[in-house]
Amino acid sequence: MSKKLSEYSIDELLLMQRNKFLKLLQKTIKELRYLLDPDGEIADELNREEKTKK
Amino acid sequence: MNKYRLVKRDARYYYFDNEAGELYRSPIHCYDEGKISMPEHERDADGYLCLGQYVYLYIENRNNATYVYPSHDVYNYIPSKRSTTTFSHILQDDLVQELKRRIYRNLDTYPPSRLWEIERYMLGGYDNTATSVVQLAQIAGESLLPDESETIEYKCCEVELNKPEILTAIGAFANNKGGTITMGVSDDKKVVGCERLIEKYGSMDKFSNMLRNIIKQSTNTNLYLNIQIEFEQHAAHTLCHIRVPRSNEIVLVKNELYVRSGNTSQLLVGDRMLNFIIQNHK
Repeated sequence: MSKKLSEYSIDELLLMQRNKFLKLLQKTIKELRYLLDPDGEIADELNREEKTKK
Repeated sequence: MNKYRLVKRDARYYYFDNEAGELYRSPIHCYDEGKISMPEHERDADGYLCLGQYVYLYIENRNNATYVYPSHDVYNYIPSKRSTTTFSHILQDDLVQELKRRIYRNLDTYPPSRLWEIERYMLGGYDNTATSVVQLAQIAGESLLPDESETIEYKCCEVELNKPEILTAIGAFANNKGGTITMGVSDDKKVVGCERLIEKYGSMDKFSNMLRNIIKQSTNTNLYLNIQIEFEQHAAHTLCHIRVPRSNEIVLVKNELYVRSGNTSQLLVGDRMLNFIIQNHK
């Protein structure tokens, strides 16, 4: 059985809010990566650069 | 042929595939000509497909370009500009690509509010025009202007026209290779515009006349005749470019000799001044 919202402590609620926010942020970044680089060319370039650095 | 949800409509259509998580942008207009009608609830008052509805699309690769257009088999949507390319056209533009590269790299460092603003703009008004690119750069806080150098100098709009910084830079450029002073950009390459200065003098013409006059009064040569003053609209701001050519004579600003060294203008005195004059003008 899942808890009702009123049964959660304030700390738990805050943590949920934070997690929700972080998830949303990650989703936005993922979407933006796609919008900026639909063909994956920039991502390839960055990968190549990282490899040469190593 | 795949099914996509319509998420945005202006000059272009945007389709988002929920399952694949991919967004497609297509320069076509979907509308109902009335012969074979789309269902009433999927159509708005103008006969266009409502946002949030699904449409079947063909995605085709021809001549190294991606074409996206709605299927005639599913609805009788008429693609009006079928031959316009989508992604490959955007990728060819160096400036756009550079901006996107910078934003892509810095995504992790942006504050959330900026991320959402960028996303909103990318999904909304963003197209491949210069204005749009400049606006996106401003939202992202990225500057597309080159660094200050031997031939490029930025001056903020707070600087009065007859303040010495501009004049010394003009003199230094003329004594070296020439260069461009851009007014309305701060030293950290933020565009602030020089609208206030233009307003102060009434109009762009009066502003440039005033500038020429000041240069004429402060220098010893006819340099002011060869200087080009151009205005550029940079999103919401106006920038003023003062293009200074290389001068054959030594240019003195208020009887002082300035030369360009790296990205600064330096005053030459004594032996250094004499050496410069001997080396450059035998």
